[in-house]
Amino acid sequence: MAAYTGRRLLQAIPLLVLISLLVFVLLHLIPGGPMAAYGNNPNMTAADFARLEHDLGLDAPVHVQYLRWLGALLRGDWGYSLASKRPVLVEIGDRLPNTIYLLSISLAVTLGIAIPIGILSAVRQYSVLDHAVTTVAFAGQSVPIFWFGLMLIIVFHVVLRNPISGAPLAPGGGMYTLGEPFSLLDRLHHLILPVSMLAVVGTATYTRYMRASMLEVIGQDYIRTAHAKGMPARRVLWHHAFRNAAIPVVTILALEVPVLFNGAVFTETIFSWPGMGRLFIESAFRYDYALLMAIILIGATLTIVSNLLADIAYAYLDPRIHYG
Amino acid sequence: MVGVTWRRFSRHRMAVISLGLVTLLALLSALAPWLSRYDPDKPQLSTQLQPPSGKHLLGTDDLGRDLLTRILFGGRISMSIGVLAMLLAVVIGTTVGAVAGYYGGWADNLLMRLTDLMLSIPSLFLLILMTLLLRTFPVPVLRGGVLAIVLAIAFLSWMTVARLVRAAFLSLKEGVFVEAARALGAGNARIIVRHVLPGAASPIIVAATLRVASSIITESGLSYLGFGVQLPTPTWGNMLRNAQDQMIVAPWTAIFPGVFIFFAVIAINYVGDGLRDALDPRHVR
Amino acid sequence: MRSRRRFCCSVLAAVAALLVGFPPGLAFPQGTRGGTITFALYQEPELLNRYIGTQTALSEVTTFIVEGLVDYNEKGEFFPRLATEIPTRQNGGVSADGKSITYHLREGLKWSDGESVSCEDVKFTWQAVSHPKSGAAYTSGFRDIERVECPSPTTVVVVYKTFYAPYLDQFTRGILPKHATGDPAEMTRWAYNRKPVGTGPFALLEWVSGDHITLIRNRFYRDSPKPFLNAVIIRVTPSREVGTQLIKTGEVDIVWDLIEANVPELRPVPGVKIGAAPGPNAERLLLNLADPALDGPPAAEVAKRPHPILGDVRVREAIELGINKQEINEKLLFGLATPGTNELHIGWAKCVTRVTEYSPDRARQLLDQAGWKNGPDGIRVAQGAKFAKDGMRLRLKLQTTTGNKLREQVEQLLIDYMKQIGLEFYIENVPSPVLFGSWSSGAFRKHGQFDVVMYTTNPDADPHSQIEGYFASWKMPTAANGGDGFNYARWSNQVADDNIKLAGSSADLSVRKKAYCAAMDEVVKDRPHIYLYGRSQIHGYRERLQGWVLNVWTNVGWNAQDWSLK
Repeated sequence: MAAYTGRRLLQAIPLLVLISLLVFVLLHLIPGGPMAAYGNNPNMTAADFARLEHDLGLDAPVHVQYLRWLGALLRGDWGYSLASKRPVLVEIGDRLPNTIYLLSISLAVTLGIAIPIGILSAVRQYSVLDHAVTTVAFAGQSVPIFWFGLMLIIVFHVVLRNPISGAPLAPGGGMYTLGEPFSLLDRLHHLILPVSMLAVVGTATYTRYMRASMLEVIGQDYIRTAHAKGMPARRVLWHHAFRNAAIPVVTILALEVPVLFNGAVFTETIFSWPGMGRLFIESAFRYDYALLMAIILIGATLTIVSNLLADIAYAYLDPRIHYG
Repeated sequence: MVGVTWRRFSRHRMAVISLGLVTLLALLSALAPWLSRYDPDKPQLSTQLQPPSGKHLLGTDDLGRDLLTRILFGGRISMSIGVLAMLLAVVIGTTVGAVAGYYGGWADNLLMRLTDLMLSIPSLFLLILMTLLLRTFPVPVLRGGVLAIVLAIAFLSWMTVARLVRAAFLSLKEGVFVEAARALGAGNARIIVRHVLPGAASPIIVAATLRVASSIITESGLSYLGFGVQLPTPTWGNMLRNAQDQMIVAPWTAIFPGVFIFFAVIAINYVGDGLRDALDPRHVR
Repeated sequence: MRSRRRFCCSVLAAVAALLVGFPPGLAFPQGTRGGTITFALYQEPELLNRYIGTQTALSEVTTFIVEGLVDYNEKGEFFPRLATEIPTRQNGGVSADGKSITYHLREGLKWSDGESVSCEDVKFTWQAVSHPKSGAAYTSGFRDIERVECPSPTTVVVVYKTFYAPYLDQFTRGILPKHATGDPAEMTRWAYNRKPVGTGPFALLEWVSGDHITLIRNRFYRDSPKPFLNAVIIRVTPSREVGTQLIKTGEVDIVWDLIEANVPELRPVPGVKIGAAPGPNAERLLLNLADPALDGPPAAEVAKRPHPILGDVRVREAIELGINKQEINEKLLFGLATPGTNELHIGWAKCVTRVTEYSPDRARQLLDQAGWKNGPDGIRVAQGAKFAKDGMRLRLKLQTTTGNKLREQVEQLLIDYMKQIGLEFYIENVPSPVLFGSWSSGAFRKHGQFDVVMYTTNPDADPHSQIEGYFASWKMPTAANGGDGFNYARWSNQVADDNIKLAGSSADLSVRKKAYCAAMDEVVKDRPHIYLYGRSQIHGYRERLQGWVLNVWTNVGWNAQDWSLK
């Protein structure tokens, strides 16, 4: 197992280098560039431009710039944001925890709803409940997530009001009320809409996976045997069926990490959440090369690691699989 | 064969209803110029931001244009982007998957590593960069945005198809009929196209259908973030983007384009679901 | 004796400064002390050093913290901040040759960390900004300074190598504290950039990235009992719309930089007020007078190969006459903008020119005369045009930055207006870094490879660099000059050139104003730019905020020391 993990991790390195090269070249092919921020300032001369461009290393050929970047990275230096002049890691360190906070709570909510409902729906296949669940889940998967977010704001922040205080039912953005001391309730209040937005697509997806996976397992011989042996239905369900049905769901969970990040971009944009997704959009509009590279590489690393974790989890949960 | 498939498909009630809905949406969009008496692009400043009424069924937008008309015209672009991106993705994916699966060896290794690579980059990030790049290329046809978006989406969504096709090839290429064709002197290309591909058609068709739906969502998301098609051409996504800063005063401009996206996408997804049932009888629902 | 006289002078000057700074009608209210206000900014500052950063949001925040020697009041005139008076010839602050400028600092000034402010800090500011490795963006003028002398801790003598017309603008961006910054060569790495130390009414307490910046009252502020407020919280919102929602619910007290469309939404909200005044900016169409196939042609080349369509002044005039500026203002800008006239429509150098009348008939006539005849689909085709081959379609590419809704609306109206006179506009918008890119990045605006671009720019309170940059014939970006200058229209006009030169060499504001206006008359006649409208600066604020005065020449927080809560 350890050997397998080690080999997979080693394989990831050339992959990451390739990704970085691809993205770096792509970024530099796009016309314009970070110097445009100074483009409309009548007080800057061409000499000022040239001096700044040189200071930032932007006047070198792309391959030189890439090698410089890669060399620095190997020494542990991720570079500086062109806009804020701060080290890229500091910039990301400010934002990443907020994204993880939002995503992990959304994921917990998603799974907390999706797993029981998926199982219930499978156990009572073709019941009214099952039909309702499949239909709603289908709808949930088809809704454009950002539109759903806008609708949440219209309904819960603009239209519906607290009947007593007249305040909006839920805050339309931010992580907490500014200027107030820390309050768990306030934090939760601010989570309602963004988590709902993120959870809708996820819940739909996982409910369907859980249901399908459960149906598959219930149909298997060993479950029937367990039932036939007179094992209590509840025990069969949880001990045998659930454990096996969970395997594909775990795999998918890991494979969906990039999807989670996409969701974060939209959610953070709509709900003014100070996370990585917004940082990416802001940096993309500013062509902040070092920062963009770091965000994409971190995203790619997480994807690769989660794929690996999926495989390991698979092996752990399913004793039939053995990696040499 | 078609008869059997249709019979199985028609057992899926939602899929049949959805097929009707998709056809209706496509027809309405295609016939938009004849159905609406309004110009989709021409500003009419005397009727800015009117709520839905008998005259304007879904209201008007910030430049006074009939929202329904723009939605129908927008549907042409949004659905075309969905279909074109799917076609291109299927072509790329099938080619990559077929070559990898049929030849195996280093070709397989190389192509599958490429597939892994593409799957490891957070797709939205790459999509935004690709669109930015393609739109600024000095090629006029890319500047309009539609083709740039189609290319970007296709470049980033062929991987699932490639994997499906490769898997199908791995199991099919050892089949008796391939041996037979080879014995009859057929070349590799001919064997791939005539003998193996048809056998892999079912999963491709299903994946392709679902791809249309997700491409429509992707286009709307890209447009929403500001990387969409050039104005004044409407698409569902850029209509939503346009609506977001007036959604408090004119919520209809934000609600309706989204409703159309939602119905188009859910209907296409149901059709895909129905196709899966019809083409793959082993699949349990 | 001497120092006593100086003391008297500075007291008098301080009184005068107070009068200039706070004109009678706007006397600051004696509000209660204490309280916190929240200010919504829809853009997060990149950092808080105005010499290396570029955004407006940055100066919005630093204005509360950092001060210059002099600054602009709400009329666009100078008033002293850290200086006791504005240096002039009369008070001996400006030498006879105009090259040596003397400022007197107020007595007893302290930085927000308690250290004393001295002439050395001003000298350091000059040294740091003009250091070749500083990474500073705004070095104009600083490089022209020969030396800064400090005859006493409160006397600053700035000596220029050559006469520099906008000398008063030099130290408006703020003085850097020598003790709380660092090595000039490392300016981009200074801790100061995230936690500036200044002399302003507020000091930075905390900056939570992507969320908010907290400013608290500066204990060492010179003018006790000011500032009245205890704190200002700057809340970073992802969009203007979020800000407008927050002010409605009372979660913020000021929302920065509204657009006209927000006004009807906010006006009826109880407790919310709108502050609006015309700003110096002008949204314009910038027309390329040179053949767009050329790469950055100099003036001589432009004369040989003009733009096939826009090279003819009659076509340019037809475009302007075909645009209904009044309608744009009324329908898209809620009547809150000013229809465009010329570059200097506001400020001390204001030039009064008439708004062109909307006249599609006259536009059509002009196009007929210019040899553009009606084509089969309503779009004109060249038939005896001045520079175009017969059969060429009257079709132009219109470009602006993506993602700006108002511009996108205006573009769609322009398409419609032009269609009515038989001209076809088609849109190819690009992200702003592409439009505003540098010469070396190959940006099409710099290289002259466009037909019509649309954007906003504005002269500073001292308009010289803007006027020279955009309208002097020697300011066309070319390969030879490394892409210097902003004369993207590639317009050359002898009268304008002469007047710009004259204005740049005079210290007399009335002479300069006359010269600029003579140049503007040529611009209006010849139309290298077509001015569409000038936006108002609009901010929303809650009634409980007292003492704020809108100043379009600086930033919202320019008089934050006078703010209080009702």
